[in-house]
Amino acid sequence: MRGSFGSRFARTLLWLGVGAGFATAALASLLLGSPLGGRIVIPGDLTVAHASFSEDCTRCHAASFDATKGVLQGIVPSRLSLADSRKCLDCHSLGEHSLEAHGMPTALLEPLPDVATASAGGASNRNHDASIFSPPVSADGEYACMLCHQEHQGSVADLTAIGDARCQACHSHQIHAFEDDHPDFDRYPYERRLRIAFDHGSHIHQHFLAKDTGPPPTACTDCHTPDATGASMLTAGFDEACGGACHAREVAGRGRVDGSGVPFIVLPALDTLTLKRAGVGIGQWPADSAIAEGRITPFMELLLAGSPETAEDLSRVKELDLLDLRDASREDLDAVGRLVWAIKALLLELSADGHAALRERIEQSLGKEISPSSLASLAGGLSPSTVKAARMKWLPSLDAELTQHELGADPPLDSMESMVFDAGDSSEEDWVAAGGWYCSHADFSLRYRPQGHADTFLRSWLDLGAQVMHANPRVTPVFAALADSEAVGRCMKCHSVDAVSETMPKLNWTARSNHGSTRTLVKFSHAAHFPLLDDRGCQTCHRLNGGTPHFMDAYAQSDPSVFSSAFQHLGTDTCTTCHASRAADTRCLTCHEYHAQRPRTALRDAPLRLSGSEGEDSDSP
Amino acid sequence: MRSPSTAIRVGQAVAAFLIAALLLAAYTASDHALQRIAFASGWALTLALVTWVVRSWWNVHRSESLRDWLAPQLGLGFIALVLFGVHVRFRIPSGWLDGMLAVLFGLLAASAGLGLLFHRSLRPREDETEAPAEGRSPEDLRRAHRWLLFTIPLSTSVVALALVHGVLEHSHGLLAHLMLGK
Repeated sequence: MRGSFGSRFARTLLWLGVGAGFATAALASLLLGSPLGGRIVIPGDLTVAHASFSEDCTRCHAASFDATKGVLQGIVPSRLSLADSRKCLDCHSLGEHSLEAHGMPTALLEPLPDVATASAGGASNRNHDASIFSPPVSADGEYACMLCHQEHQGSVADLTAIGDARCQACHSHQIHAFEDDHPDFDRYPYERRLRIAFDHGSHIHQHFLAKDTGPPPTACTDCHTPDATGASMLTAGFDEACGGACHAREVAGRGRVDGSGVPFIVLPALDTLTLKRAGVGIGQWPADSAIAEGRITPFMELLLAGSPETAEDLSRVKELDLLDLRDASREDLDAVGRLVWAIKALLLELSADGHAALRERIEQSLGKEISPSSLASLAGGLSPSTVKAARMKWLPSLDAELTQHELGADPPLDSMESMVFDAGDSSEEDWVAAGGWYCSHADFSLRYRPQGHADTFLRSWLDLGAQVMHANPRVTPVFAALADSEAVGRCMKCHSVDAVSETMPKLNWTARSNHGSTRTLVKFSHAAHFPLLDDRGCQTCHRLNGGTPHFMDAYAQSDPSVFSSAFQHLGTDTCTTCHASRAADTRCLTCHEYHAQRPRTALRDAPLRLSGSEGEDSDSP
Repeated sequence: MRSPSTAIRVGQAVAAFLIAALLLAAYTASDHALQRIAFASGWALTLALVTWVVRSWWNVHRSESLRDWLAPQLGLGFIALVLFGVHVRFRIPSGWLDGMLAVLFGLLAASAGLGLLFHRSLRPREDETEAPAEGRSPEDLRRAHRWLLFTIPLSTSVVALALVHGVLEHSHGLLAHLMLGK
């Protein structure tokens, strides 16, 4: 009886179960086939930022062949998630190594001791789905975005909320509590010398105490203020922090041993007597130039070297003492003669064609095009009247002489002894007290006086030198002359030069690096910590070292990592007073960034459709 | 002195807890390794549900002690519950299909909770102390049948929808690639 009932009931249950199952599947299939199907198939709402893509799966999901693996997804190795990740990069630009760990080249990370995937065997260990307990990384060292950023978790989900476990997937050094397990900081936050060679120790303990430099700063905030985000502290500019009674005179150039301005064109002092005796016809050449002992400037070398013949003469003449050519060979004397005519041609070209001539000569010499904006900076506002004045005063017959020279009849040397040069005239120099070009007739030189701090002429020539000299050494003497810490403007007294690569030096014009899209993996908000400072102010954390007698030694070489800091390095104990369990936040991302490149929203196609252009739809009849 | 069936039931409960703990440990380890085990846990859950349904149906007309029958059934349900949590990463799904599945699974879990109450209400019978029960009281059977009448169709619905979800999840890329070319 019971068995019979049980069988009947079992059959009933079977039909009920099978019926319910089929009914559910049928209903689901009907709904999926209906206009609502597209909405139903979405596994969850997208975040607000991506909400507009919800109708178009292809915006985020790739048309990868891997998609054809269908039900085998998850069983067989697949690069589908990496293909999807490249879709992410259509909008979120993360640089060249976007999908590699931290967006950095894998080769940079592999030597790190606590990176599990690297230390476990490097590239050979990388197989997608190699183990369920190791991070899924492709053979190219790439990770999918969705490993950390998982969409379809609802409109208010925070895609950037990443737990510490995500970090520890690769970093084998397990950190259970920041205060106990985090490695002590290595030279943080002073990991390199300051870009501006400013010795806080000597200024605070010595220079600010001097009576003749005006009122000293009374607070760190006189020079340092937080940026708009509060993350970083900015350094005040030269005029505000360093100028005034302290360093303004140095920058203006007045009183430098080699005159106030940068010598650009100089009539070099020549042994005219020997040249005359040897019958080298160079036309007019002021004998007084010998008194000034002028030399060919690095700028002249650059502007003359565009002609291979002149470049050859320059290298030959460099070996000579131009003021004493008695022992020079006939070939040397002829080379001097040709060089003098080249200098005269340069002066005539500059006075006649101005900036166009300057540009042509720089481009010829460097084999590199100069943009109009660069030329404007390199010319520094050189005016025709200044060059013409020099030419008219120093070499009044230049035009006619050069015509004769071109006809092959070099005029004999005329040392112009009858002419009176106003050697003691310094009014031109005083006239350009605010900076600019002037002629110094005392030494037959055309000079540029810096217009103050951040002078564009000096900076652009230094930048050009730094960029080009690895490929074209002709600009090296210009760079070397201006980069000398005692050079006019004294740019490099404070602005350091880093050897970031073997070929191209990096000039540090600002106190902060212009990171652009790159950043370090450590972040810190100064403003968030202001309320914690005690009566020592910034020195609550930034404690000065007792003395830094070797501070400036770091700037005698070009490796920025070799230095002695004016401040004591910070240890984790500075942070753990607050950042500890059950106190301030200790999550990894509180102080660390994952992406080395600052994520930028890439602008997709933004065509400019011009009215009436071909192919444009037009409503007009 | 405990009856053999009681010892077996305790063993089954311990096994269920151990399996659940292993599943959670595997989930934690894989999650820390940035791995996603939604695929494996999803199909394991479907398998567990199918087993649960088949066993429920198969045992209806078997003359066993209801307590012996329900105990592993509840253990299986507990493992399915853990698998479900692992599958959805212990988050509430927000998609329509996923949400519907979660609601149905929630109802099924609630019915399993009723089953647990029912199981606890079953008094040990005297014959259990000597040998496995060979009969069931009519009252217990009626209660069991009412419970099954609700649970079996619900569980097959969940299985059917889970299959639709699984196939859709893993083949829509194939369908899109073949049919739409994208």
